Amino acid sequence: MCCALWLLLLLGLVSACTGLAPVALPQPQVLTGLHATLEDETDRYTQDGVEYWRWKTHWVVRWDPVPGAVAYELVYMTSEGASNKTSRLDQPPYRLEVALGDNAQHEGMPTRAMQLLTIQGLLAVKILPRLADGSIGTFSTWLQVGRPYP
Amino acid sequence: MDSKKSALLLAATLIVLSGMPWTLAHAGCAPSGGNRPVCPASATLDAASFIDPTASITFPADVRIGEHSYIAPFADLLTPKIAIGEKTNLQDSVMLAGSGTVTLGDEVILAHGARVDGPARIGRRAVVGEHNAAFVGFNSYVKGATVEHDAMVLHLARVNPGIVVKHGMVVLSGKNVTTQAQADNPALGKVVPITDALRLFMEGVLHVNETFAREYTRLYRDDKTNVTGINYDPSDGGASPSFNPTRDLPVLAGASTRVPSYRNRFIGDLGMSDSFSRLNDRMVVGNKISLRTDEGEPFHVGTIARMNDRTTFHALEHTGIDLHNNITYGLRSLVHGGQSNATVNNPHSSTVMGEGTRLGNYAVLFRSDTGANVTIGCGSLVDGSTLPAGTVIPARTVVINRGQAGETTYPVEWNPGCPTGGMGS
Repeated sequence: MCCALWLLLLLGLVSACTGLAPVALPQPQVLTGLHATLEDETDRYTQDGVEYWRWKTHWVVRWDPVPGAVAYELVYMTSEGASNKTSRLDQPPYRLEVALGDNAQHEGMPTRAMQLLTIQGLLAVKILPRLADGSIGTFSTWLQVGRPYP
Repeated sequence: MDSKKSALLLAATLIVLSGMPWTLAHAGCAPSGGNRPVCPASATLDAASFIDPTASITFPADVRIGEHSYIAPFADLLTPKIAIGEKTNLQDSVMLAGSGTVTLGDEVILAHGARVDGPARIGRRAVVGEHNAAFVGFNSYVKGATVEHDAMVLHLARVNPGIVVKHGMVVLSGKNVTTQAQADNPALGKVVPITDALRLFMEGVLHVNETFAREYTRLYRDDKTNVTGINYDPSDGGASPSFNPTRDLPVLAGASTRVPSYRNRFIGDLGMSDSFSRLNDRMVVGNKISLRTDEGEPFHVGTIARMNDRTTFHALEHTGIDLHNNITYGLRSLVHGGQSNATVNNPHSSTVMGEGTRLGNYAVLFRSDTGANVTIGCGSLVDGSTLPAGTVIPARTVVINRGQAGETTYPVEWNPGCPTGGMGS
């Protein structure tokens, strides 16, 4: 015990003199490169001479792969509380349908903004890496579903 | 009748029943006799349904409740016949009224203050592998109508007699659906299609409330006086990483307080500036009030100017509520915590109400931040917004993201009980 304390003190003194980090402590696995975007896809068709489209908006979350992570778990926070439901993902990205419609093309995507507003108020998600030894890394920040990040 | 005929009759009966929504014909717990608050009394923790002792059931012999369901404080089950499926939840001050039968299927969510008048049907018996959940939002009103499985009615909306909100559709907050065409056609501005994200939201809410059914049952079985009045919140001792790790008591004027005989429900880690004697004054605090801090984050309520009947607060894990002094809370008003751009920079992402604010009758403040002396009119919904001091939100107005990107304001199309032309608070 006494020796260990002296060793720590010695390492501290060395680091103070050299400017080096005294001990290489295990670092939490933090998600880097985290960003969320909205991506639209459309499928056009004609009916009775009118051009229509089926459209869909996905909320897509991407992050840098974490070295050693074998999977990523997603945990959810609803407006009614923290859910014990989780989803598992082998690798980024995470895609979730957040708006859709089927209407005349000249109308655009008339309900998209309201659908995004609605889900942003109801659901948030965190992402955590699962490492090979079963341990987990640090969660990402809570992301409001349907909202671009950062 | 010989055994072959009996078997055929039984098989035919099962075939007929399996195609029906939840009905009184199905097995379920009748919340009468000893089957309160745990239904049935002998259920295992993982099968039990929990009915808060303050919930009112007028005809308990004609009510059936499936497994894993949760009925929150001051819910009123007044309809003559009620069938409630499995994994269904009725939150604070929900009302089932009217005539005929109210049938709630499996995985139905009736959020705080929702009202359903019979005859009505929400959801269906669950079908494995399909989307079964149905949702009715804060202070919404389904009157003699049907909301199918995989459908939603958002906050402060109304669905009128005979209307069917079909699976795959979502009635938007504040809308009044009066024709079937409005319920079917998004182009008419009242509904939008459901998305995978909304289904995920409903699944999450169902999990939360299943946990409440189990953990309130555990809390009750540990001590029968734990589930009334001013009392503990449930906890699983940290067994689930997403649930409250410790049981907490409210702190009133600096004193940890447990009063099981109190007429209202104050639950969990709730800090109140007022003393018990002031909170016990009916001129200050009304009846059937549920301040539910189930998930353990700090929650502070300053001195109360007036808190009217059926006020509900719900604060969640990772988000708090900070209500300053001299606030007036209207009849059936709701303050609900949650993360948003308006709250994300507050400690504990708290929903905040400034000093002297007035929250009208039937009004909902959801994950927002208001300055001092704000007025939120009767029947209004303020969601994800930052309201500067002195802001006045007129009665029956939906305000989403005020002060943030994506601001939207539009009228509530029906009247939940507001005096015409008044603030109603």
